Amino acid sequence: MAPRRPASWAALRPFSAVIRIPDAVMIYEAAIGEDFPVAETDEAARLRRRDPAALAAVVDRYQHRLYRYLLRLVHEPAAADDLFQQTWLHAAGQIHRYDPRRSFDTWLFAIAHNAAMDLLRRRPGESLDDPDRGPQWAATEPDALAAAIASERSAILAAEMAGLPAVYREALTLRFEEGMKIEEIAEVTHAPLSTVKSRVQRGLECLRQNMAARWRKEDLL
Amino acid sequence: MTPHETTRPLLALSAAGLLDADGERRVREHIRECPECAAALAGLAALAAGLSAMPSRAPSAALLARTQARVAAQLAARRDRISGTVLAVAGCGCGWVVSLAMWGAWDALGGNPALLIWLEFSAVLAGLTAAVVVRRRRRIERSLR
Amino acid sequence: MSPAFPQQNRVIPIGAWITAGSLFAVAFLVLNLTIPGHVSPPIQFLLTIVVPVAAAAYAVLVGYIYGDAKRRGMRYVMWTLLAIFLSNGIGVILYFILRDPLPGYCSACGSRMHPGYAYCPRCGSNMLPACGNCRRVSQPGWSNCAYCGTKL
Repeated sequence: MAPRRPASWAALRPFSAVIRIPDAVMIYEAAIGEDFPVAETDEAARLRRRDPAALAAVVDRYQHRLYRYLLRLVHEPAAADDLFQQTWLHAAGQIHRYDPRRSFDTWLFAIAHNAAMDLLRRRPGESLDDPDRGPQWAATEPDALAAAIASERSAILAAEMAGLPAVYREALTLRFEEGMKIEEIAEVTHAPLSTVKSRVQRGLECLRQNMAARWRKEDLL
Repeated sequence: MTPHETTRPLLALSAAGLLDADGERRVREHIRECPECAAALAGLAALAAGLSAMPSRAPSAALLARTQARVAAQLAARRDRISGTVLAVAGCGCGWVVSLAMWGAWDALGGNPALLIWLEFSAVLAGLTAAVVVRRRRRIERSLR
Repeated sequence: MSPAFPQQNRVIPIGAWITAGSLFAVAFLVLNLTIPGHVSPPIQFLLTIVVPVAAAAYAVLVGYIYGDAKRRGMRYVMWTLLAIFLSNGIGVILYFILRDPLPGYCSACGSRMHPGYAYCPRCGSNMLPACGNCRRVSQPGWSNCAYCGTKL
């Protein structure tokens, strides 16, 4: 019985094409990433077998969406970088627990959610609970014009999002930027459906209220 | 509660596309009469549209490379551990068979207590080597931290 | 520029294969000449096959240890001798428990490096999450650096 030649080095060879440094890019664009669900049973099987090439491909495919989600939650690129690496290492270690019949997205984002929540919990000033009372309903003048301007100033929107409580931020990001259904968001955040719905609703109202309050001070013209 | 108050929470849900047909109908009926809620709904809908189109920063290519390298290293380490375990067990088995054969041969040729002494000595030597190597490794790791 | 990966050299030196082959032949001949008549045929068959195979396999394993220890930068002569002379395969087990990890590669320049370093010794690019102040590796769950105390 002869000892097997270790495959580890041969397995690293495909990465010689992947590991190089193009320039860092900053992208200003809408929802990134066509999402090919890992529905091809072939790829899911290769992932479970811990095929390094399959894992590298998946890391590449989900990088933008995952990074965007993490950045929305923690704001700082340095923290998002760390969480990004942490999430993937954890996913690679737990890949045998991934059920190929279910969505890879929700599984991956659930891991990212846990890692991000751990970080936020340790930050002073970030509360992870749902705020007790929903936002006050602000009776505003018809602000259709202001609303139209809002969608133009999407950079301001991003800044406003940062001011929301973490749970609202997350719910809005998953719902609108990732386009996830309520059931998927519930899986990712380990929260009941009704809670998720209420977070989206209150988050949106809170955002609107914050923006309306800000513009009452500013001169719109 | 007035219809105004009951439909108010539904407005945000409608803007987020989370209402069923019944809820949508109620909202539409209400905003026909109430300009305030109509404006609010328009605002919320614009917000929702804006949220789907926010700019975002891409991860740097260096981050991607680093992450892929770490994942690959983790996989390689795991495979290394497994192959090491298998080879260790195989080595143990083969070594055992060879030792038994040698013992049998030695026994058939007359026997000699020196073999027993050698076995004891080798076990002690193994323990000493292990202690030295582990100490050295721990020192290296401590200097790396 | 892709990193230069070393050729997948043979880990097991040719000498080990030659030794294994000769050990097999010798053991086979010796056993065939001495055993018949002393034990019953089934056991005889077992002995004349199993023991030479085990001896040859052991020789190949020792050769593997030689090559593997070399590529990991360990003291390969010491480990080879230990593997040969410690009985019952103790040397082999010891080696596999105590061996160094495989060298890692810098994701930027591709040079070989110890996997635990925070920065590549060749090109200086960041490999692992590190403290901003003292530049040492920081573990995932830390809020403050355990070496210099700065907030991470």
